[in-house]
Amino acid sequence: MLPARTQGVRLERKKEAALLNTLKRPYLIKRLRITPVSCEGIPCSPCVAAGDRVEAGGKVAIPADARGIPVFSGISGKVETVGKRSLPEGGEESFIEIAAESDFKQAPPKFVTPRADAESLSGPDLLNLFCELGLVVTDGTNEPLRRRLETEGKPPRTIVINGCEPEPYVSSENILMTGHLPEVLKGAELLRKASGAERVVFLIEDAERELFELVKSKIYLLKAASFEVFKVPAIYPMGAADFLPAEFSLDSRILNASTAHAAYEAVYFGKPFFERIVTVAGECVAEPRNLWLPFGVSFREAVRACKGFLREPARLIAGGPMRGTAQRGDGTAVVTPATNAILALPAEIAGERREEPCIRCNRCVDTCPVFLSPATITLAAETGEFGIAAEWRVKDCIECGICAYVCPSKRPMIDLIHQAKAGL
Amino acid sequence: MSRAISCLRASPPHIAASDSTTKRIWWKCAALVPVAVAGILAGGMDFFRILMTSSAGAAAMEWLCGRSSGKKTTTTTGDAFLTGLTLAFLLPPGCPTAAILTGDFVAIVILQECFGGLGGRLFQPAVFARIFLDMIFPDRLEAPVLFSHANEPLVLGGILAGAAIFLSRRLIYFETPLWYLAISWMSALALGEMKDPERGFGITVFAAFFLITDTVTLPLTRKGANVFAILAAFLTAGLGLHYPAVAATGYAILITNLTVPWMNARLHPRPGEGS
Repeated sequence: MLPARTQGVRLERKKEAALLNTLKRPYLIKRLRITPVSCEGIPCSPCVAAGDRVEAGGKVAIPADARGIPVFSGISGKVETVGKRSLPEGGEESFIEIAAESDFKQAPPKFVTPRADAESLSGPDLLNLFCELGLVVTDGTNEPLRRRLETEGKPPRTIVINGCEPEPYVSSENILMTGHLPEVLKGAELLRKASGAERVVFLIEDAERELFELVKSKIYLLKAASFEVFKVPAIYPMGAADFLPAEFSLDSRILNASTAHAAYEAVYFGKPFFERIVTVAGECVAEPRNLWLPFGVSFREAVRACKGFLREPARLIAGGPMRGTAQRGDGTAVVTPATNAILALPAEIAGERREEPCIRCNRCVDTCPVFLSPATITLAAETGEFGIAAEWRVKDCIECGICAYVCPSKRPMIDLIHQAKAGL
Repeated sequence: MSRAISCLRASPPHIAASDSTTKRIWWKCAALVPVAVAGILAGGMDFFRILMTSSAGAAAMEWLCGRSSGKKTTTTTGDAFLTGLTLAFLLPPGCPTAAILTGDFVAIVILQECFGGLGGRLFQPAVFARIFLDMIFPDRLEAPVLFSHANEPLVLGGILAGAAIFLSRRLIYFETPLWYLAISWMSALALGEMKDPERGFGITVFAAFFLITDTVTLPLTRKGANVFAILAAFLTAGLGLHYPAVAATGYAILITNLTVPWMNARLHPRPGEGS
C-alpha cells in the first residue's frame, strides 16, 4: 500500500445506499437532448435533420476534422429538433432532440457479436477505432481518448486505471469494476497496447478492501504480468485524477475504469460511446442506484428511473459533492460523458449556511493538500490585496474544496480563491 | 418530479463538516465552567457577581454594537460572552462594577468592534482589557481570585478539568499549551522564580489553555502557534521578575500578539505540519 503522504480529510463515504441496489439500464427513456460539444476547439455539428429516424448507436453529429470525435444516439427514435439555444452563462450551443419511437420501450443496444480479430489489432488501429466510435475520457475533461493516448515521441511507461472515487455518494466506477471486471481488464490491456505503455496499474482506495482483493485475484488468475494493483489511502482529494501519488502521475496516462470498459466494448463489439454508468444518489432520491444512462438523458428522467424524489432537494448536483456543479432546479440538465453522478441533497446537508468571520482556527491550513494557507489567501482576496494572494501561491490551488468543507465559519473559500486568481 | 426544485446555483463544495464557529466558541465557554465553579467556591458571591457582570456586559455590548451599526450581530457565536468570562477570571475580588464594564467596553467595543468585529482583533481582548484597567487604576487592582487560590486543590482541579475539556475537543493544537507550560516552568526554575510551585502551576495552566489560545490572535500555521507559545512563555518568565503574575502574563501575551504578522509572513505551511 502506498504511504499516506498527503494532507486531506477522510470524508464520510455514503456509497452504501447506491451500492445496495443493482446496476440497472432503465427502459423508459423517452427523450434525449444531445449537445454535440466541441472537443478542444474542434467543432462538432449535427448530421441529422428533424424527422430523421436514428438507431441506438447511430451517428447524429460529426466533427469538422479528423481530430474531433463524432456523437451517437443512445436510443432508437425520431429526431424531433435540431437547433441552437442560448446558454445562461452566455453564448449558444447546438442540440439534437430525439424522441423514442411508438411503444417508448427501448431494448438494450444489440452489440452482441464479439470481434474475432480484436486482440490482433495494432496500436494505431485501436486509436483510430477509438476516434471513430467517439470515445472520450470519462474523468470530466471530455478529452478524446485518442488524444490522451497518442504520443509523438517515447510512449508513456504506465497506464493508470484509477478506480478511486474519493467523493462521497459516487460509486459508478466501483460498481462497474465489481460487476464487469474482466471487461475492464481487457479494456485496460487494449489501452496499454494503443498507447505503447509497458504496464497497467490499477489504483483502488484502501476503504474498498473487497474490490482490491477482487482485482488482485483476477490479475493473478489471468496471469497478466504487466498488470499491478495498489491501494491508495481514501483521504480526499487523493484518488482524484489530478491528485494521484507522484509515482503514478509521472510518465503515465491516467484513465478511469469506465474508459477501459468503453474501450473494450468499442473494440470487441464495435459499440459506439453513447452511454455510461451514472450514480443517482443523495438523501432525496427514493431509490439511489447506479444506472446505465445514454448521453442526453435529462436529470429529471434519471431521477424518475430511481423512483423520483422522496422530498424536494435543496441542491441538484452534477458530479460529486466536493467538486460537482450545482444545476438548475428544473432538472433539465443532461448527462454527458463527464457526468459520473447526479446527486439530490437535502437542505440539512447542502442548504445555505450562515457565514461567520474567519477565526483563524487553521483547519484549512492543516488540511490543504497542496500546503497553502487558504485563510491568508481568502482574507487577502476579501480586501482586494491580490498581491498577497499571489505571494501565498494562490495559483497552486487545485480547488479541491477541502478548505471550504472544514471551515467552521462556512466562508465561501472557493469563490474567494476564484476572485484572487482572477485578480492576479 | 412535477414540483419545481428550489435549488440554487452555488460553488462547490456542496457539503460541509459539522464543525462551526459557534460550536467551537461555546465549547471554549464550557471548558471554563469547571474553572468558574472552582472560582465561585473559592471567591464566593463576589466572584459570582464579577463573572455575571463581565460576561453579560460583554455580550450586551456586542449586541448593542451590532444593532447600532446595522451589521449582522455575532452575539450568538458566544465570542463576546467568552471574552467577558475570561476577563472575569483576571479581575480582582471586589472589583467595582464600573471597572468591570469599562473592561468589557475596551475588550468588545474598542478592541473588537472598531477593528471589524470577530476575526478582526489584534490582541487577546480579555488580557488587553485587564492591562488597560491596570493602567487606569495602577494601585487598586490586586491579584485575581483565581490567581490567589491557584494552589488550592479545588481551583487547581477546576483548571485541569477545563484544560482536559479543551484538549478533548481539539480546540487548539495539543502541543501549543504544552510548549507554553514547559518553557514557562523551565524559565521560572532557571530564573529562581519558583517560590510557590503549586500556585505557579495553576496560573501557568490557566494561561496556557485559556489566555494564549485565542485563535484569532494566533499565527496561521501550526509552527507559528507553537513559536507564539514559546515566545510568550519566555516573556512571561522574564517579566515575572519585575511584575505580578497577572501583569507579567498579560504583557507577555500582548507583546507576542504584536509579533504575529511577522510570524505569519515568515512561517508558511510546509508538508507534514498539519494535524
